[in-house]
Amino acid sequence: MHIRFDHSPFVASVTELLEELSALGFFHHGLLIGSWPMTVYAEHFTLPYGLATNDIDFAVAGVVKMPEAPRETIPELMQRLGYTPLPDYTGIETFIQGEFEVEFLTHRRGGGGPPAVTVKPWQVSAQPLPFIDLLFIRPAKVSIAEFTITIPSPEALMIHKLIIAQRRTGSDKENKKSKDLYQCEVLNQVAREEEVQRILAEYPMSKDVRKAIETSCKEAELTVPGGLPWLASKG
Amino acid sequence: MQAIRHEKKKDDSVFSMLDSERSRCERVVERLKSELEKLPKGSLGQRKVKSGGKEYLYLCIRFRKGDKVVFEHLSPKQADELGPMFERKKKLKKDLSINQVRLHTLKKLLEKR
Repeated sequence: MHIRFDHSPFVASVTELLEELSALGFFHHGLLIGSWPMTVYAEHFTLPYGLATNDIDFAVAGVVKMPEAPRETIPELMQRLGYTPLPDYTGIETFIQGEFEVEFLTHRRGGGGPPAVTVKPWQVSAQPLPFIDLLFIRPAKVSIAEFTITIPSPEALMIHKLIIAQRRTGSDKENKKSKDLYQCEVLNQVAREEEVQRILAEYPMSKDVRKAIETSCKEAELTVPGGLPWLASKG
Repeated sequence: MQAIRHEKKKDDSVFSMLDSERSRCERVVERLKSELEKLPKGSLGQRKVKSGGKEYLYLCIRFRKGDKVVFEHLSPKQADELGPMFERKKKLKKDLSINQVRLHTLKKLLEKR
């Protein structure tokens, strides 16, 4: 999927950040994730979704081999753009600029591991989380005037949110779950059946993960295009 | 009936999102405050001192101690070391103020629920 915009669907400061990251080559190995891809899909498909939070999340591939080192590391770029690094007690570093908070996430295999890892060659601290790799399955390109970014496809984003909605933790989990499920409802309107089924077939899922998807579908009162294949095979 | 239920669900989702944003904003405010506590107190400034008919400018840290404003002179080396810290402090204070305003706005919006 390749989406093109003549004008940026994002506010100016977010557009500037995306353009700079694009120029650095970040989107060859990274994605814009979280709520912001919803802004793209809402604009492109005219979907009833007009909200974006002020945390900007990026997924970064854990092992990156690049022909040459980038001219600037991500912390250097962020500071040049006026973002202040702000570590928390676990070592996770976010970048703050006014109302905006930027965070980098990477895929975590298995159940444990450190709360933050440094991803080379960007030299950026990223929080490892499960299922981030799902978002990298056939991502969508978004060209905004002179630059291009990469975001998860609507199908991958929807399946990811169906899973994580049931795995939210912390005092804010109900609000986040509600947001996840609402985004799923919106994305389900444009999700392509072939791609949904392809992802469900190729992405390894445990029984618990399948159960999480089923529960989310039930709670959001939605049926994914083509249905859940493991339910069909049960008869 | 279905349409009303859908609208209700949508409203709930909007409020959930605002509430979630409020929580995130509260966390940012707390982290900014905690980071500011780690930085030197006061602000970086200059102090004019007249002596022998001449006026000298000294770099100093200004801070309040009770009712008084205290000036602590700095050597150029100390000023070089502390300069970036005060720059960071200035930026963090600005970010804190912006996030406190946003938090206040979000709380007001959520009161209307």
